[in-house]
Parts: sequence; C-alpha cells; structure tokens
Amino acid sequence: MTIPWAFPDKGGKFGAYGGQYVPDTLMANLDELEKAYAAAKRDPAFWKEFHAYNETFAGRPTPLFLAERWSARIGKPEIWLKREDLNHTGSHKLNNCLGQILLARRLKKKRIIAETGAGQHGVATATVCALFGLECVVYMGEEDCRRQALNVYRMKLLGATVVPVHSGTKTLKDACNEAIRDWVTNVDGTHYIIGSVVGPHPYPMMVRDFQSVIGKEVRAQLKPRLPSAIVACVGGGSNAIGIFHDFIREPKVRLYGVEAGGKGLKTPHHAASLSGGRPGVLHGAMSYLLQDVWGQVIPTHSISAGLDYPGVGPEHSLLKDRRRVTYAAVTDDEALAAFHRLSREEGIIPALESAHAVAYAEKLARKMRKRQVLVVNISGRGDKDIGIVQEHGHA
Amino acid sequence: MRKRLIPFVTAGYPSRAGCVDLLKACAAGGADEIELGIPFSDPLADGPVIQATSQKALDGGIHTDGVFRIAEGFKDAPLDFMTYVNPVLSYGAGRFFGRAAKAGLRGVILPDVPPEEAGAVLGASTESGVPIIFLVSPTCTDDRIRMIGRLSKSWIYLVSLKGVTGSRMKADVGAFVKRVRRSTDRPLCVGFGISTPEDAARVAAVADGIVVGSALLRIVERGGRPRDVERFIASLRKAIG
Repeated sequence: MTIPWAFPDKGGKFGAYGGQYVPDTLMANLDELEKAYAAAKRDPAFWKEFHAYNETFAGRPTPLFLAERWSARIGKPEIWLKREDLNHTGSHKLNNCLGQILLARRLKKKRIIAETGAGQHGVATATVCALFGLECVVYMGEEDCRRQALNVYRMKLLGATVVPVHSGTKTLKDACNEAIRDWVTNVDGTHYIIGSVVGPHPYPMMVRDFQSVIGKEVRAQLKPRLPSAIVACVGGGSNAIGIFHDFIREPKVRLYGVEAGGKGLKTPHHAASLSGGRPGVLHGAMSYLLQDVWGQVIPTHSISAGLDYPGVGPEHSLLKDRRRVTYAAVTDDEALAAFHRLSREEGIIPALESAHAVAYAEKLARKMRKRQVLVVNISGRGDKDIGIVQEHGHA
Repeated sequence: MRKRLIPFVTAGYPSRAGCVDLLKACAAGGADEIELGIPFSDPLADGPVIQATSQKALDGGIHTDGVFRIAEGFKDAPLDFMTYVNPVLSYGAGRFFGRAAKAGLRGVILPDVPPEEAGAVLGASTESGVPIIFLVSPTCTDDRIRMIGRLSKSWIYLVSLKGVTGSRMKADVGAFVKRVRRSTDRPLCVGFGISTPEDAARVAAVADGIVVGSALLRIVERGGRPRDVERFIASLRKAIG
C-alpha cells in the first residue's frame, strides 16, 4: 500500500495551500518559469547537467553516516546522519541553487536575485552565480547582516552585491519582501532564486524537486532497508521536504519536522508556524503563518537565523493537516545542548538549524526499538554559528 | 467626462485623527473618491513611502476594526479600501465585505490577489455588492486583460509601470492604456508613479482617472500640513480637468 501524493495541482495548490498571491506584474514571469520548468523536467539533458554539477562541483552524493557512539549511548535504533553539511558551501542550499541557475540559463536571464536569512542560501546563490558568471544581488535583513557578518563577507568574496534591508523587522521575511519588490521592478532580465519551498507556485514544487535528491540518495544508501523514521528541521522547510519527498508514499516510514521553539511555544518568542500559527498568506502563498488576530505577521524569534521565519512551505501545511508528517518544536536551549552533544560525541559540528533535528531525534530514539533505522538530516555545518554559541557562554 | 481623481491615504497615519484630517483635505481639494489603505506588516507591492506610513500606522495601534470606524465616520467623499489579502482573510472575507457594504465602501483593492486567486474573496464581494477592483500591469497579456475585464464590476486599476508604488513614471503609459482599452470597456484609472500635475495631466489625457498615493504621503512625511495636501490635490484637480 502506498499513499498517493500528486501535489501541487494545476493551479499550484497543495490542497487549500500554495497558489500565486502576487502582484499582477509577476504573473507573466511565473507563467514563463512554470513552462520553462515543465519543459526542463521532461528533458533528460537538464537532469544530466544537474547531476553532473552535483557530482563534480557540489560533491554529491553526500554520505550517510552511522552515528555509532550516539546510537550506542541510547541503545535503541541505529541513528544515521545524512551529511548535507558536507555539500559544497556547507549546506543543502546548493542543491536548489544549482537547479535554478541551470533553469535561469535556459531562460537567458543575466541577473540573479535572492533573499537570505542566515546567509547560507545567499552564499549558495553567490556561488552558482560565480560559477556561471551571472550578476548576483542578495537581500539580507540588517539585523541578520550583523548576526552573520562572516557570510556577508563570503558573499562579497564570491562577487555578489549584498543589500541590507532596513524595513520591518530587518530579518528574513523583510529580505523576501525586498527581493520580490526588486523582481517586480526588474522582471525582464532577472530570475529570483527563492531559497526554500515557499513563495508563489511554481517555487514550492520546483525547490522540492531539486532538494528531493537528498531523500533519493538516502533510499539508495540504505537499500534494501527502509528507514523507520526521518527527522529534519523546518524553517521554510526545504531540507525537510528534500529528505521526505521520496518517502511520502511509504506509509511505514514515519516523518518528523522540527520547528524552532525559541524560548518556548507558550511565549511569543518562537518561530514555529505549524505548531503555533494558523493559515494565512505571506510571500505569495497560503500556508500556516504566525500572525496576530488582525492578520498582521508577527515578529519571530529563534537562536537559529535560518529558522527565524514566520511562514512555512505550503506543502508542509498540507502534510500537517493530512497527518502524514508529525511536526514538533524544540527550544533554543535544547538545540544548543544538541549542538554541543553532537560535536563531542560524533565529531560533527551541526548548524544550529540542524541541531533542532538532532535534539528531537534524541527524544525520539529513546521511544524506538533496536535495529530500527532513524535518519537525521544534518542540513548544514555549524561553523557559521560558532559566534552565537560563544555568546551563549557554553563550551 | 470628468476625470476621476483618487488619492490614497494610509489609515491611522500620521495618527487616527490626523488621517481623518488628510481624508478631509483630499475631499476639499477635489477628490472624487479616496483609497483608504488598511496597513499590512508586509506590503510587498509598496515602495519606501507607503512602507514607512504603514509601519508608523501599525506602530500607532491601528487595526482593521479601527479602520472600519474611520470609514464609517467619514462622509465627505466615497471611499475604497486598499489592503493585502491576509488582513481580509483574517477578519473573515464575508464579515469584511459585509461591513464594507454597510459602511458604503465603493470597492476593495487587493494588490496581491490576481484574478487567478480571486476565489478566496470573490464570493464575499459578490454577495455584499462591494466590488473587487482588479489591477492590470504592463506585463499582463491581452487574454488576462479580457478575463479581468469580465470579472470587474468597477473601474480597473492600471499599474503604470513595472515596479512598486512611488516609483518614477515611464513615458509609455499612453500606449499601455490604449492596449488595455482594446480588451475591455471598463473605466481605466492609472496609478503608481504619478507625482506631479504634469504627470497627472499626461495620464488623464488618455485614462479615465488617476490614483496618487506616495506623492501625497511624502508631503506629510516631510512635515507638510493637511492644507498643503489640499493644495496639492487641488493642483492635480486643475491639471486633469
């Protein structure tokens, strides 16, 4: 028995979620993009090129690593780590950027724009623009520029222009607004590389497809076994959809998405849209959203800049409503503890985003049985977070 | 035929009372109808001026009920609402349009609702009799213009340029208006980038009306008084006839 999963539909909807809630100016571009992607998707040459760059430039497939000390300490399932931290540029973000830049080349776009929160997507975008010699402009909240100064410098080294965004809360959501405003203004020669499975159709579908390489590799690497459970962190949700997608039809594989619980779901200081929000429209799509009673988007908090976003990809909203994926949240403190534990126990310093998945997996593993397989997506490496962790005084 | 002059005012900016003074100034200056903006935290179709006025209004505590109360108390000129879809959905589309009808609103403009997504609000709009005013931009295909024309029960809002509110107007607005006219017979009012009486006259020569927002609010941002706004609106009135 497999679960049928044919989303999005022709209107770009995942059930009631998704869609194209954008200014009229962008409709022509989205239509062009949708058609170009549909053609590329059918074209084996496109995927051949995608996989060639994944192999020789990004270093894929990334390893699936058995965390022996962690598994032994808990004494229940085998815990395997999907090593997206070893992907070029240090996170899963490059998978999507490679796919989209190849598409942008087919569309003959000369200028690329992107938004970034922690800077991982900005760095990945700047990297593929350097690879193909395209102009690159990255929007980044002023507050994030300060928190992630090293990544700002990396983007500049790669030849990108980083534009600090001073409006609103000066973080990721405002960077998205500004990127969309740029796109509305420069529709003709510009392609917008959205960094997650968010935004108007066809982005949530397209980004999912490019990221689904993660789950396909996991399947091949574990063959003939199937994982009992997969855990991934969810901000916008691209690494999670990426590792889940190939397993959604397998009812035996339990899927867990872990959101940023910040200082706790009972406080206003978190970024858990699925656990603490209700459906609304932001950045072109209907999805779960952190908003006040009047529908104003509310400021979020997470120790991890990459999860500090009030919305979430529309496909996750449907997966939540259908109860195909279990969504939970872990706090800043739990993520920090997991960050330290994985560093010392396995010699892998995870991104603070991924540390949320690690923290949840620790709890889940205790409830599992021997010889089951638990896969945790280590979506990025933690070098960028060393300063933040230091500020919190742990060592 | 008299050309429509449609100024835009952010509800709750510079304060609740101050915004009513601006509405009165617009009416006194010769506005035919006024767009009252319900501020949204993430106004992605707006440029810096309306972003700033929206944020200040929200910081001042304005909310949807408060905007309705302003609209219900203002009788000097007919009003349209302009906002984004999320505050409407959050209020409940039926409740929103129902209250708008009772308050005598002429229409509701939602820049992030293209006709393809209008299903979310169209039923409530039809039932209330308060029409959605759709937007058409220069990148809109003729087929989509015809579809928008069929859905429209009011005037159509022509976005003069590729960009956000408050940008600089381009020279080819005339050709754009003519192209849209070939596909629909609805009245066409042009907004985005009209900031001077000269712009206004040039656009009114081909369109049925003009919308002016950022230029008006910029006067207030720079310390101008309601009488300065009234003078500005009167100068536009004179320019478009």
